[in-house]
Amino acid sequence: MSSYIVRRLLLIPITLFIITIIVFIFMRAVPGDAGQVKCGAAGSFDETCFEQVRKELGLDKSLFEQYTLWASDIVLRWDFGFSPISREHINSEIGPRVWNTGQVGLLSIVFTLLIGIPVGAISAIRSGRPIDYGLRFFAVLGLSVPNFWLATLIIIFPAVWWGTRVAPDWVGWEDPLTHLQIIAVPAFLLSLAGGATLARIVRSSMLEVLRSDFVRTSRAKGLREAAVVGRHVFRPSMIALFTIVGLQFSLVLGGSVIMESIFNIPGMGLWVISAVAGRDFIVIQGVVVFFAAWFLVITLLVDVMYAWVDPRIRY
Amino acid sequence: MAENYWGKYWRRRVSRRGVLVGGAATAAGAAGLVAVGCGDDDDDEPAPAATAAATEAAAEAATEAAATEAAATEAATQAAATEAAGGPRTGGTMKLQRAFAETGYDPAITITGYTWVALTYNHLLGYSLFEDEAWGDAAQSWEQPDPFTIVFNLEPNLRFNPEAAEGRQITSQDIAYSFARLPAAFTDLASEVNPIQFAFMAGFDMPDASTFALQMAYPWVSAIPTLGSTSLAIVAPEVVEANGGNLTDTVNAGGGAYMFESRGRDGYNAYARNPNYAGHSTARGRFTKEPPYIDRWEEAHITDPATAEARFLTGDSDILTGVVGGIDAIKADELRDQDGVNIISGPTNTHLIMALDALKWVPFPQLREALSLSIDWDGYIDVVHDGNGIRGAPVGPRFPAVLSQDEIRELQQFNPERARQLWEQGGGDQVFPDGLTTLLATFTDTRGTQFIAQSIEENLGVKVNMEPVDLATYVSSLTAPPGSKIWHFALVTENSISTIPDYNALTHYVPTGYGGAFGLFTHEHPQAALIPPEVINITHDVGKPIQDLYNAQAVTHHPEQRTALLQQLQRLIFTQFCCTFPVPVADTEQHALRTRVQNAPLPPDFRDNGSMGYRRSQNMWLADA
Repeated sequence: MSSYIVRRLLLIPITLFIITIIVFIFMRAVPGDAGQVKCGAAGSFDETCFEQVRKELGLDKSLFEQYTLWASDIVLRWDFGFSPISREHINSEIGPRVWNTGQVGLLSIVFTLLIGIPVGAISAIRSGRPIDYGLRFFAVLGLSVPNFWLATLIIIFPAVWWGTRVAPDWVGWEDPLTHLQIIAVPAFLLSLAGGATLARIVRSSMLEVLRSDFVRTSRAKGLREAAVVGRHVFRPSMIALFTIVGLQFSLVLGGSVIMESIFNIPGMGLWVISAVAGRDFIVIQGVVVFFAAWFLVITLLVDVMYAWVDPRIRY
Repeated sequence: MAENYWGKYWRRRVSRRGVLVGGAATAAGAAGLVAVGCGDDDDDEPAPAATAAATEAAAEAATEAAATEAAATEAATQAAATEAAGGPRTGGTMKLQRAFAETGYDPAITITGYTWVALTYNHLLGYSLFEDEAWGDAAQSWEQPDPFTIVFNLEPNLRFNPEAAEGRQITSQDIAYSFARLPAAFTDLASEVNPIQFAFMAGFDMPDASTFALQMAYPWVSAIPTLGSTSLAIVAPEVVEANGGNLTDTVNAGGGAYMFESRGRDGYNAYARNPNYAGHSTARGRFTKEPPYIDRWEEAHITDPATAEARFLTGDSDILTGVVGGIDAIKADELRDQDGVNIISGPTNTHLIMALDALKWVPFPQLREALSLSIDWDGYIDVVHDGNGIRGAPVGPRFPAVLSQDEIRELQQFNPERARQLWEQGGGDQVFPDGLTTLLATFTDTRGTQFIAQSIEENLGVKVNMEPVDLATYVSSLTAPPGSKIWHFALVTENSISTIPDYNALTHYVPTGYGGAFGLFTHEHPQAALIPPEVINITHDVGKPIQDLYNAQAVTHHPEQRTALLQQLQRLIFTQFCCTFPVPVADTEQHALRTRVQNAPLPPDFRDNGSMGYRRSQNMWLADA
């Protein structure tokens, strides 16, 4: 196990190195850079301005030089650099933004569990009955309906019909109730697909356990159904849950990009959208590398947890 | 009882405009009948063309009358609302929202910061598009002793806000400093301000602290409206110097009616009154004698249109408007029935163009003409503007020198047969074997782009590839260096005409303006060296006469002579078919306001920049204050 963890830990910097190169090259392949965006805005594209901005941003250097400077700053000083557009230091921006995005993401995981486990369990226990069909229908619906579409409906219809908004403007924890109201709606919408997936997985794994010999034996011993399900069925069925929740954790940062735009949450998603619009290479590169590092660390943790929960798994 | 669908239309008020248009059509019809009835009974032609012309002229007159009447009706409605609301009140917070992020806070560098620049800075003048009149802001009065000089007398109580230069008095030296830094900002600080706004300034004289004399390099006709432009804001030199020569990260460097109260994360800004602001010595235009009525302003950065609409409907924003221009007629109709919503409308002053990449088209005059002839411009009005549009011209529709709609129709025809013939004669399929490429951006007129593409495909038999692009790709593709543009033609959304009415539209056609950005170069252009010699010889021949006429009208003060030159220039542009085509626009402009907002200027003055805009309408007030 420990050798597996060491191997995975060693793989992380190599993976990140490859990701930085890919991100860097792709960003340069996109038409237009910050110089063109800034200097074209005046209408008459000015070569002097273009050269000036490119020099200021280091875009006049060779690609190799640009990459080395950027990557060495991150590796040696953990410095993601300055945004040439907003002039903010990226390191100082990342913290509050990760926290804002993380709040929505964590709450969405809570909702995922609250939706997925009971729905899957009830559906499995009442398998083949109308309630099972009903819940499965809603699970398929949750998977099929895009959450950004639901979000738009939730935003616009209460405003048109009742003159109210379900999610007001961002306020932070100074006003805890309003803040919870703000993050609850996008978190709930984000959890629908995960909750539906989890419900289907919980249902199928519980059904598998329900049909196993030891459950039949438990029932034959005269145990009450609640005890059979609670003690002998539920716990072994929950291993699958780790996969889904682990995946949800890794998607916490990246998954809410559209939600943050719709609900105007000042998190990583909204930041990266603005950066893409302004060709803010430094921010985009920094955010993507941060997302990648987060994903690698979380998937490693999930794999380790998986082995810990299920002793049959050996690395 | 729920309202019956048809009942809504049955009970709908008959508008003045409807009556006028209907009346005009009836009159034209009657005129036609009279013409037929009064004719002799022989076989002479009953002049159907004349009848049609009469009908068109009547309809056009009716459209213009309707637009003016609509504005008058809106003004009357506003006046009535003001009376009902109990007269002007002081106080309250005006709530705004914008779709784009701020790119800095230096008025000499960025052109996207309408709110902070209008609220926190003074300008020498304000300018009304609708009334074609300038009002003194920092200037109490001004005179033009000769065509090259304008002398301004400043307001006596002008002071910076307490955080700028310790709130000291604003002097003529500060104005000179503010204007003098514009060229340097353009070359050294990647300024977005179009050089045309400061290129006319040759020097400044400051005989005393309250007198500022502007010397012009040439006697520019548009100098006065230009001095109302937001970019020509008065900044405190001490603040600029203390921040290394630019204000990109610094706020509160001016003496406007308000100052920054807070700069929130992601563009949530709040503005409170500047305690040093004394108002004006007299009320004029939309400037009040006392400081403005409204106490505070807030502005949120909202990227999602649904969220923006929801915020407006719930009163979290007082204004809902489009990214460029107003909201469309369908949205206005949708919102009209909502509680607390007031739709204001007025004559349009929009300008929209279809740009051609000059390097690809200039060598092929027949193909350029074929392209223009293949587009059903009146069909564009019917489809894109539901019939409520006007034909575009190289000068704005509110400018008196604009050509008549009839003449534009004559100059910019739709003739698919001739188009196909010219395309074949010019070897279009050999010149463009892969068809044509255009840009499709969600924030531009996508319906317009699709209509034009379809028109070209149907009438020329040429495949048009539409490249979907985001904002940054759109801007960088449009202004990409010569020879590297990925498009053959593109609809260019622009807001410039809402700034300065008379020359900003024309800049899209001249080599020194956006025409150069689209590749229409002359030998004198700074980028001439980048252009292949065999091409620039041709672009020069096309661009030079346009540039010369533009330069001539820019210094012709006699109104009639200038009109004649401008009309000559427009005809030249239409007949060259290079390299910018004016595109039809909607005939009216609408914006949605919460009903608590009183005395807001009507379109086209409602919008930004030199038009004064609602942000600098100090006589606007809030009914619930």
